[in-house]
Amino acid sequence: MTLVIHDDSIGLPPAAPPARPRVLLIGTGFALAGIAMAFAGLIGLYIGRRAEVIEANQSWLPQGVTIDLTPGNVALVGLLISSVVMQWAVYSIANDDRPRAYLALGLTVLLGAAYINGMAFNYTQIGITVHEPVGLLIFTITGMHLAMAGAGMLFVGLMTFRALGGQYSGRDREGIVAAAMYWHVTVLIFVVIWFTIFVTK
Amino acid sequence: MAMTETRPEAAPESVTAPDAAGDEAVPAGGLAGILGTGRHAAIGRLWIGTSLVFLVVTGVLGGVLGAERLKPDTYNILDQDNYAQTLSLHGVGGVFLFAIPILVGIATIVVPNQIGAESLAFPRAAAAAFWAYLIGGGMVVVSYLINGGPFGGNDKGVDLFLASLGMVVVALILASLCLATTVLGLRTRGMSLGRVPLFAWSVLTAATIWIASLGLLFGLLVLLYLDHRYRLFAFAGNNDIDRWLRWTMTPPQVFAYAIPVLGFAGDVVPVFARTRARRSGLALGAIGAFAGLSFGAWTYLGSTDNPRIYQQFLFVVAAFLIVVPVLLFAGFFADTLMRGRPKLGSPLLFAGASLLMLLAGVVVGAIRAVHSLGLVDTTADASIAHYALGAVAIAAIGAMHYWWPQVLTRPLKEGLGVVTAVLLLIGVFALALPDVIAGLLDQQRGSLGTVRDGVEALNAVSFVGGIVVALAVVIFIINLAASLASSPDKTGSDPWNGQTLEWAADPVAVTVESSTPLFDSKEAAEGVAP
Repeated sequence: MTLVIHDDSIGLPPAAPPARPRVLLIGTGFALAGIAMAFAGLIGLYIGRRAEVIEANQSWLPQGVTIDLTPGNVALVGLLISSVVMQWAVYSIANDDRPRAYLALGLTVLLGAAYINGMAFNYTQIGITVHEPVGLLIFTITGMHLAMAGAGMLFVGLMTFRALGGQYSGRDREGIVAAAMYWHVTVLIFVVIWFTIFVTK
Repeated sequence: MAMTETRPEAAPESVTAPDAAGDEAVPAGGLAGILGTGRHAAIGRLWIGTSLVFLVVTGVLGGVLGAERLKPDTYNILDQDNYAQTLSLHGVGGVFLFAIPILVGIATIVVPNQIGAESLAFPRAAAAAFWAYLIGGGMVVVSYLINGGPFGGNDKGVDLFLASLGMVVVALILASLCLATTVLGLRTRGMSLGRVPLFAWSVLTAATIWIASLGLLFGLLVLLYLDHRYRLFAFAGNNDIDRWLRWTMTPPQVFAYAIPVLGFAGDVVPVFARTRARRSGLALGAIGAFAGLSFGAWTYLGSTDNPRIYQQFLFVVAAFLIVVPVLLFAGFFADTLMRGRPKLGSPLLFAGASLLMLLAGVVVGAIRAVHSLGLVDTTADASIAHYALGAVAIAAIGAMHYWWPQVLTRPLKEGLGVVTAVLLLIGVFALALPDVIAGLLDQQRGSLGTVRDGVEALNAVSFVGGIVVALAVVIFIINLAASLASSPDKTGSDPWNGQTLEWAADPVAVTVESSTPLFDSKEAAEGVAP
């Protein structure tokens, strides 16, 4: 004999899994590929021009200019911490721990602002202007990275507001993951910039 | 638990605005309808229409350049600066204002239907990309008109050129991103990547290459703009900008714009051969290999900092290797025709002609890589660009003939289509081939001067070829205008007995079990084993 239980909780159809592959995630990936190529071209040009100058036994940086490693290190450490914090946000939302996710997302934006502030201060100390080739290259590369970080903060901020509005959960965290991917690549690109411009002067 | 409760994750994921679906949604009328549209078909038509306007502009400039080269030892119509500026706009317009945009437009209309998607991914971004292209493209032309652009004498005009070209490049990246995401993320049930129609696959690979290479170009344009804006001129004096852009118009990058040509030819041939395409995996692989080998961003310093790149082993090998996938694809094309019962139609002619052009282009590209021939920076570069962009133009016009139910909703006249295809085939060959020989005779690409015997005659042949191409374009435009002026067609939405999903009455509702679902269902109805 078959037992039939008439119960709404059992009759509820299973939740549909989120659509895969995720559109926002894929779009972010393609956007990051384009951005990464923009930096690859500029950094390649920077390295090539510097090699030419050094090969000719000339100084790459203008007389009296030194690029201090400390501001670069501070910016790097700040961004690396922000990357960890951003991943904490992903972890928290994956576990439906919304308060910690909000905290981590807010901290990421704050650390991004600190990075922009630090680099802006560094610009006043660096002693190079945009009116010389080295300065133009450095300001273009780091300036574009500041713009990328600013866009990343907007992205993370938007996803934070969406999360605050009730979107995203352990089952569907696409927006947060996409923002995290963007942020991690932002940090990764700065690691390359830090090594190219601040370390191997 | 009450049945009215809905789990947050149970709601279907919506990637489109309510009015952003295909043609089914009721659009707003008038100007608001055009400005606010997120429908992929409408956006695609805007791309196509605008790019055809730029084709006419670019073509007229090409005609002026051809007439100037009839007497190649002196400047007769233009002065030296105007010649260089006109040549520059001819190239920039051909690549960034015509070739990529027209393919984007066709793909924007066709690809969502081919993969059974309700709409394009990020329809608002796709619309924004078009408007940015329209405004940026218009400003590019204006910058030349005010004596800006490369070789321009007006510094602010040069600044405007760099900024507006940057805007166009961002628009093209954004549009490519929407297309690539659509193919990867919005395929219908059962449609694995291996079952994607060849055109959609070619658009995915092309968009990927475009995003990467145009991304690099955007970075360069930012640098050049700042350099020029602050009048430093360490990188971009007015006469140097052209060299920074040259890699985008020479091999291998120039072939990247023609990747969808293969996809178009691959989708057309089995339909007109009235058979199932065999070895479609080979065709997919050939398109992928062609796309990979056409990625030319790595040569971006070849015209400025590192001219030796054209002699390097990697460059030479890549230039020869890229012939292989095109040959493989030509084999696939011929094999499908031979196995089937071919019927003649203008789309098949366009497909064959565009494939021939591309083959000619990659062969000349391989010859150019032989350093001892000294073809770099000669008119051979122009020849290769004309072959590749000619292939794009032929395929694009052919695509409008083939996919007219989706692009136009009214048919183009077959007879005029056949004439257009034949004239384009003859015209582009006559336009491009003499430039290779003239290149071997040392005629330089960017300027006029003393030339060797025979160059003048070659230039005359090339000029006549250009006139034939112009005639073909005029016939196509007349055909298009007649089509748009006619009443909507009543013959149905599948005039060719298509095999792929875009010809289904409702592509979104279909679950796919092969790359040719319509052919399968027809075989099943006839009782033929697949």
